[in-house]
Amino acid sequence: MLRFLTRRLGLALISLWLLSVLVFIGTNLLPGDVGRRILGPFATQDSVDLLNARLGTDRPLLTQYFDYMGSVLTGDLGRSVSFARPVTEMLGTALTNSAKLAVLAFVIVVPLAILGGVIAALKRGTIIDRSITVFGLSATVIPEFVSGIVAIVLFAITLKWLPGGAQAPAGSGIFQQIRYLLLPVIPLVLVLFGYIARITRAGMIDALDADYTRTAILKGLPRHVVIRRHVLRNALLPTIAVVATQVGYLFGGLVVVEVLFNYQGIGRLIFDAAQKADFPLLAGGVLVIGVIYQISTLLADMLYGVLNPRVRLGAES
Amino acid sequence: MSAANVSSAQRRAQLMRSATFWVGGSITLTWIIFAIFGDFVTPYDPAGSPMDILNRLAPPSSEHVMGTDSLGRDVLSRLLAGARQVLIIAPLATLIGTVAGTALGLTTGYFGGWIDEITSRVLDAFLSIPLIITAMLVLAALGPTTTGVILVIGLVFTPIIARTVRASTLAEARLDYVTAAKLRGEGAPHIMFVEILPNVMGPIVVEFTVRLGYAIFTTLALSFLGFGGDPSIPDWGQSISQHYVFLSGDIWWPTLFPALAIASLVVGVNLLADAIAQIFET
Amino acid sequence: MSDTITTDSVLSVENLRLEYRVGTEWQEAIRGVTFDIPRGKTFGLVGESGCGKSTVAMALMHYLPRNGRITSGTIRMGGRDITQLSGRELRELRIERLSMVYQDPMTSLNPSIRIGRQVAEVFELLGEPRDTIRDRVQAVLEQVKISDPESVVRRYPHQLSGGMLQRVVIAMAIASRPELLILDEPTTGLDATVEAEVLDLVTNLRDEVGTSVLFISHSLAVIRKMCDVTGVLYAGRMVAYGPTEQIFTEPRHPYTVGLLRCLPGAAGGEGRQTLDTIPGFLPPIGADLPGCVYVERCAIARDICAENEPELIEVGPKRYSRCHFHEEAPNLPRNVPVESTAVLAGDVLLSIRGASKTFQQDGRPVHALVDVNLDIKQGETLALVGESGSGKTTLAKIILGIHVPDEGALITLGGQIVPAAVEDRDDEQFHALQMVFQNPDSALNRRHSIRRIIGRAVQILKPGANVKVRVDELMASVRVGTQLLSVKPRQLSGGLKQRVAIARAFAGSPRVVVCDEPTSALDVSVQAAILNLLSELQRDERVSYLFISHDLSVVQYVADRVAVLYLGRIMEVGTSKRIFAGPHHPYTEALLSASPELEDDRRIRLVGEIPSASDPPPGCVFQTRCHRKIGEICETVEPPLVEAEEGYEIRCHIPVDELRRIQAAPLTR
Repeated sequence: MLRFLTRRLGLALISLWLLSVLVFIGTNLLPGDVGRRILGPFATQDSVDLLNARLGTDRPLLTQYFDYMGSVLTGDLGRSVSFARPVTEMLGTALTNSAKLAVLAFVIVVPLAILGGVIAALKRGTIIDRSITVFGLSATVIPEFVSGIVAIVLFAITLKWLPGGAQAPAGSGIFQQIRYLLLPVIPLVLVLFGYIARITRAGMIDALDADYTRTAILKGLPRHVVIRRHVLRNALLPTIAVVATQVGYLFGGLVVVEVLFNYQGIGRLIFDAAQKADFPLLAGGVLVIGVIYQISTLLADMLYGVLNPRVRLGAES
Repeated sequence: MSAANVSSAQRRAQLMRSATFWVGGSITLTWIIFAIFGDFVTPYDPAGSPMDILNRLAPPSSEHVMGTDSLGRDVLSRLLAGARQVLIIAPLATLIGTVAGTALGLTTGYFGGWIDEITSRVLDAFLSIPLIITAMLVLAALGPTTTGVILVIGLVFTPIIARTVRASTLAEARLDYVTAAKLRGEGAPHIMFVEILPNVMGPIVVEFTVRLGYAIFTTLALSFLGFGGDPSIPDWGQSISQHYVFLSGDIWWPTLFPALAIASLVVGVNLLADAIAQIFET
Repeated sequence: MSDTITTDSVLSVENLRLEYRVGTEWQEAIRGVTFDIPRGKTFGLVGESGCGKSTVAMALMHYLPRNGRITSGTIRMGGRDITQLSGRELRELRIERLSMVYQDPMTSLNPSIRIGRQVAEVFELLGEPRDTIRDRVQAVLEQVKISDPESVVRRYPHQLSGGMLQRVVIAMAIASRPELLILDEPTTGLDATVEAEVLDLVTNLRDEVGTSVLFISHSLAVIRKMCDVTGVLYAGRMVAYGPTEQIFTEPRHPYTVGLLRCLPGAAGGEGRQTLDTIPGFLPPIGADLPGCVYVERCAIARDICAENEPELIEVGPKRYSRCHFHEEAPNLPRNVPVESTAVLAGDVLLSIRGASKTFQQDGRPVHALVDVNLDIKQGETLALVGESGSGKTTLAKIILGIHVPDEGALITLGGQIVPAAVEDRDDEQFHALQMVFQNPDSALNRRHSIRRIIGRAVQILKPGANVKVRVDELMASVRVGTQLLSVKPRQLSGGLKQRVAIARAFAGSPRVVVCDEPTSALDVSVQAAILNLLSELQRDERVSYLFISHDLSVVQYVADRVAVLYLGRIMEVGTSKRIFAGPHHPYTEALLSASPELEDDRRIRLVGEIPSASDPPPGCVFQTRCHRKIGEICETVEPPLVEAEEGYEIRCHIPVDELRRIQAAPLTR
């Protein structure tokens, strides 16, 4: 188990380092002349040079990279060009806001999707299975801004059940905040539902068809015990890994949802940074998302390891 | 009758019996027809005319079945014409991603070892950033163009498809027909492309159809966010981003109709993908 | 038939019919099977793959796949018809009276639940009080001869070997002291030594627990050893049924006669002759069979056989044969004429010196092969024998260049040095060294037609040959009709696929062909045909075989010389005659005694499990399990492989003469 953990941690660190290289390439190499990309084609060469000097983007690339990495490791992600504020500070506030959305979305979708997948598998081949599968399949591919708009038209404009904005008035209690967040959470939930449900269903079907399930049934165990004790445990293992990778998809969705609902989270920030070619802010945001993704998959793998005796105890040698 | 004929005939028969195939197929086909012949069937010029501005944001009526937008252009006409942009970008991007991903996946899966280790790490780093954010990053750096959108979606699809192909290739490379080929002295290209590739086509086809759905998703999300390339071309994502602010004023038609168009297209393509995936799985 | 169903049977099946849905059609797989299992006895169900053995077992447990249904017939147990039971009654039946042991113990236990918990479940279902369950679990594990039950209960399935897991499954099955225990191929996939232990265990438990047993196996030898009464199943029909000894010694159905004739006998090596085979194929599930199910493959069939299904005819006391002409069955004409396929070996062709192979596993070295020296002469068959993990396949792959051996190994072919890695070899070496694989499904590219598979091999391995002519020639020599050239492998039966794979290996003119368990995935009737084919090709082409097999009767039939491997080392090598006649290395002695054909009193039980190659025991690697261990020297000094007689080498501290003396004496238990 220790061996598995150290290896897994090492791999995560390598991936993060590679990510930093990729982000650096994306924000410093790809734009060519960074100052020119930010100021646009009509700025004078002097002002472009000035900006490059201020950003340090006139120095050799390798120097820039090591400098940047040096400050990243101390928690300093540089200054935003367009907002003229420290990137770390901006990301901090935005992350708190996004976390509210993300946590609410996960709290709703994970139990729902797992339940959906389990029911579909237990009712395999029936109309219930088909309905859940087709619904999940469709929900997953409808872009968040489309389902978001349908939700606004339906719940905020026509039925007037929910407020149209996402940001609760200052000083609102937790329930008030949740009420405001429900509408933007709907598209996130829809997108996540299909995938998690599909993996759960597949895991369930594998476990239901497994020889050990046959053994359990032929022992004379009642069906509900077979499912609870023998099937679910093995079936839900792959789901854990999938839920973690969904954290990645979720951030993609956050960009769109936060733009649509004008919500000040990390997605909105990255969108602004991309639009304004604010590369320090963009790089910082992308790095933070990468770190969150790596941490969540790491945690998922550890949880998987703890739950799976094959990993926890290794093979008998 | 050869095995290929039998099996493909059986597959075709199974496809013909599948309701998902027919529903998904007809929705998709409808939009493809609009994408090709949109110009001939639109009631008004999708690009609009200067006089339209007088009739802006008109609700649905007998003249404008879906109303007009903020510049007074016919929503229905722009809707029909808007299919083209996404149906050019998404398949091309998916094709690029599939071809590149297949080549990469075959190579890493077949050779294994350190080539595989390194590529896996780079791909993992790549995949830790959501597709749409990577795309925004690259388009912000290079400037948003239609070609850019195609290339960047193709680029981010490459590792995803490579992962699937690699897994299948690993499984195939363990089989004895590959050993037999090595014992004849066949070179790596022959083994990868002649021996292994035909056996991993199933997963590749499935992956292509599934990715196509995501490509449409991403293309539209990018155009909604303003990274969709040429702003003068009618485009559903763009229509929505330009009009959703009017929702609070109960002006829903320029937003809701493109939204429904998008929903129908992605669901159609996805049902089609699912039907195809089903026959390859059984 | 009702006269056979007596009150003395624990379970009676009458006219059972069962169908599977394939696509939209229902196809009959079990075509009216009738038998009963005498109380306290073992009933054997034997037949080739696809005949419906496992389907019958599952029907008895009333556990059918989602696409299966019983269409008619009854399964009576204790006066109740199992097919009519409610869900609750069925559960009670499975808890108390009917248990099953499955083919693959590795997948039959839940990977994420501890062994103790899984066994305890059975006692919970039996209503055992909570505080005694622990003891009961320990006791039942001891009963199946698990030496360390306290530690086994805390383990997970992946931490135990296949043999150990099968004991656990058996423990769960006998915990309730069931009236009937169904064993479905319980030893298939296990090593011969482990198989022998499991079979012993089953025999002892049957007497201890007093349960009746339904024993299902494809292996005629195992059935003969284990069962009192045997039924022969063919195409979903019971074709013969009666006391086991009579079924085997005086078969009265042409199918049984044919099957027995396919078994490779002892007449191997120099006296090797063609084996008899059964022509044709098993009819597919759902085929319309108005007459006798065996008519198409039967050499004594007449018109009536195609028209009228014969009854189960009583041919002796409690003995039945479903054949119109059962009296003629023993005189069934041979399908293959008797021919000698023996070859005189020539000079040394391939030689391996100092071959070792160390793999790295989790950072630790695993010595899969240690300093192996072997010679193969032209035209001879050298067999590699040993349990799984002994290094047989590693050695074969080193010869073929698929694995690169550790530094210091030397392979020569006809005196020329052969590069270690397959990529570095030249065309001539590719032509010379070929392989026939265990599993033809894996060996043939399923997307390529047969023409393409063989054609490509001809193109590469026989440059300059007219591809079409050579392909036709090869198809003729492996006896596959050229009309099958355009077909893909999955449309062929297992035997035909293996023939195609053989044709591919012979596309050039190979000098050494490695045969890695070429018949172990095949039924006996197909095995016989493939062995004949390999022998004929050897006779005609004077090719050498390196033949890997776990089946000692096959080895005895095909091999001229035998090398016995244990933990990557050669323990003994010599002529087949010498190895089988003895005196044996103690390990070989144990291997040979594991054969189900042998009587029980000659059985040597190996203690413990095969040690890990990453941590071999000090001294002689076999000392931890050796029943002939002589003392400290075995634990401290690894014996060298010495030439004890002309052409015979052995790795043992005990001198050969001493071995001869102690092995002649009866085994004391």
